[in-house]
Amino acid sequence: MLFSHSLIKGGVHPEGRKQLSNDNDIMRLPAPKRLYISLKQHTGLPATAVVRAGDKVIAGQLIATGSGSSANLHAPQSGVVLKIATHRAAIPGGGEELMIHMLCDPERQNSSLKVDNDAKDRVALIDIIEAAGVVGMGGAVFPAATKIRSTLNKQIDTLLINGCECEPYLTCDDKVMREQSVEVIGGIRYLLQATAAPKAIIGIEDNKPEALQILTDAASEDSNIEIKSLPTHYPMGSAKQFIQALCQVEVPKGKRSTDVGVFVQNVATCAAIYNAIRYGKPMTHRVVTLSGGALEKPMNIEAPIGTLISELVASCGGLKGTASRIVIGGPMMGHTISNMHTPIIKGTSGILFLEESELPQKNSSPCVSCGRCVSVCPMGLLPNAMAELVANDDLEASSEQGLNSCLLCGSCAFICPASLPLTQYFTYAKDELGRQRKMENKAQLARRLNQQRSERLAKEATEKAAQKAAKKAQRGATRPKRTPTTAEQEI
Amino acid sequence: MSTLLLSAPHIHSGMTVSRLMRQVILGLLPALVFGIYLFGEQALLLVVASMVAAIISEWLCQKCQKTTIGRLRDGSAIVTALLLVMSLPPHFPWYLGAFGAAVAVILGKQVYGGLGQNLFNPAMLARVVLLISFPVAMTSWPAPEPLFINLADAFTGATTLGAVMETGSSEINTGIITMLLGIAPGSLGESPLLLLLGGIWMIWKNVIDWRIVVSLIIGCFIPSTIAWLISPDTILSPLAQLSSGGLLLAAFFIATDPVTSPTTPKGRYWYGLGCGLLIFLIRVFGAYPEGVAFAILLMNAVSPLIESCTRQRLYGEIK
Ligand code: SF4
Ligand code: SF4
Repeated sequence: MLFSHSLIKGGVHPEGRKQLSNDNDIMRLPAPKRLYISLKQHTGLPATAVVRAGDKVIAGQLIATGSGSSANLHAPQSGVVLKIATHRAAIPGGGEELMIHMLCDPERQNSSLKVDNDAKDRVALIDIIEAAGVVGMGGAVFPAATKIRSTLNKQIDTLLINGCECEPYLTCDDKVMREQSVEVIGGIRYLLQATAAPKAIIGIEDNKPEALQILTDAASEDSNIEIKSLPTHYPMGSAKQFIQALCQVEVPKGKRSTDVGVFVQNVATCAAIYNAIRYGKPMTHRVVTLSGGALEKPMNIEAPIGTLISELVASCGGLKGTASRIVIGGPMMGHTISNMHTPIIKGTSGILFLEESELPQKNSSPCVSCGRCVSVCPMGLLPNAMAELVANDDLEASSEQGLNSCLLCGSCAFICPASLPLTQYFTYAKDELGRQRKMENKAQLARRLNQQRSERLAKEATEKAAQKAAKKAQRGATRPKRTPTTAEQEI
Repeated sequence: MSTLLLSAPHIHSGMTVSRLMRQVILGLLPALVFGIYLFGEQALLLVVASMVAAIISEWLCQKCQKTTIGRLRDGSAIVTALLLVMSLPPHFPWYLGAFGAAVAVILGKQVYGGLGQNLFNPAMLARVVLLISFPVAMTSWPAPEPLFINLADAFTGATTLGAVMETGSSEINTGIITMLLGIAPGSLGESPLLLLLGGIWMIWKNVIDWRIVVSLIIGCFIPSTIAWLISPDTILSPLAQLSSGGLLLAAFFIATDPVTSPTTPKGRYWYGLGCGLLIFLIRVFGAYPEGVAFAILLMNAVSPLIESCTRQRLYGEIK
């Protein structure tokens, strides 16, 4: 490690703890009785429900439509819509969100999308992906179709398929690659068509030798799909670092990966794309890793979107100890929740039940300027300096230092011997800056609307005056003259 | 179930400040123990007195000043005291050593606000204070008297570097082997081999940054080689330069003090080079044969500047 050259800058080597959950096959959850399907699966606008309380739905039926930044939602199972109301959500900070509450029938009925699975046209393929409500499953939870559509007017040289799964504990992508290699490779073929990219590279960290082998075999016929082993190195799976490791290019600040001719997609998303185009299956299920020292039987479960976490835990044999912390996502970037009576969403990759002994120590000491955070930051930032600025509430200065580039990857806080909550500072500062920007935009919008309103009023007033003048001219000068009052003018 | 909502990451490398300090102490131990063995109970008394003084001063400061940063438990006071005594003459009066340790902790660290807040290396600051206040005691170097072996009285009572400066001749009468082991008049913890051992262990354990160590050694080695080639009669051979005068102590244990060195990887190269070069310059041209303390303090002063000049390139930043 000392003098070794690495593909990405900085980074850390946390203990993988993947063996906890990667031994068993993916378990298919027996149909849960109730589902709570959140209309807000990710940041951005929520989807709009197209069913009403009392409606009978069948599995695969569209129940909410997306709007650009959100994706369509489909009923994972047949049943009745009980109501559309708020319910506790597994989101950072807790809170409630609007959800479709469903009571499921045990009987299995299926509806699939009407798709032309021989479609060759790029737009047609993208339309199917959009209709199926496929979202990026690697964390961003951005509608896949919207992302692919952005490549229509860009030249994509390489499709990068992310199978790194660099977060410790998580094994859902690993399991998908091992058990659904046909779907993964099939999805990549469709994606190659949809993005018109000449080749694809699947990058997998070398701590997943089986997945590497299985995918290599599955893609042996495809000369344009290459499988590359990457060193196990956090945060290899972060899009920017992934691109850097595989293509030796950096995405310039403020640009997107498509600007450097690459398009990144996660392996599980590829499998979902395959199911959508090949079988017209909308995205209604996902594989979730349940792991952590407090869990009786850590494993991967394929569960309908909207299943309560408490039900998933029960099917893993429950908790064996006290979970000191429940984390949604991976331990490096995930967020905690306090209530298990919350449903999973399309982006829930893992649920971790961590024991006290697995957690970092709580007491932080002062920064000793050891520079460890600086050398592990994959973005080349100075976390110690930024944190100090944030602590002094100098958000402007910290964003000059590059706060916006911070991935919140947690490498700095992971390594910090003083156990400083560095990422917490940056999350706070980013939220705060975002809020300020929003306020600023709102104020601007209000100003603009105000201006538009007064312009409209003025226009209406002149029109009215003109109409009146015309009428008057028609009727002749029989009536006494009257000038409009100011009040009349303003209406 | 009570679950606190705490922010990511939810796992940690396990490295803590007190563990770092413990590992530094472990790294120092071989040379320290050997020093005590060489210089007898007077050295032991000095070590103990300084440690006790440092701990008491730290404790007092933390009692009086509630807002001070750091805790007694973190072990930084002990590290400071040990670094100071390692650089003192072994028979330095114990009460003056204790005084020095108190100066290091109180004036070197606590007045700045505690752990991590100081600009200068506390141990080196205290050493300079002692050198200026007690010049005689600070420059009387006893010959080693190992507890079990009887060494021939081959030693002059001046350090290698001091002898060169006084006599103006680089012909020294200590053999290179005894010098490598540190069986020579010198400060308490100067055994080059054992310092090397502890230092390399610390690099391996990721306690200190090899960049500073290597660049400091290079920074001193290259100019001394050049100077020695030019004037071999008056300049000590490069190898002797490296193995004496606390150069290795500085390279592995003092310059690598995280608080007072730059945090940027590139800055560390420059910092190390600067320290090495200054040590050489002070040794050859300065008034004090042992240049380490001054060199370190000078570099401490410019460390923030180095840091701000050596920011790393941001990912995706076009230069
Ligand atoms: S890792 Fe922690 S202690 Fe070290 S410089 Fe960064 S913030 Fe300070
Ligand atoms: S969380 Fe931000 S500052 Fe810390 S290592 Fe990751 S990118 Fe760098």
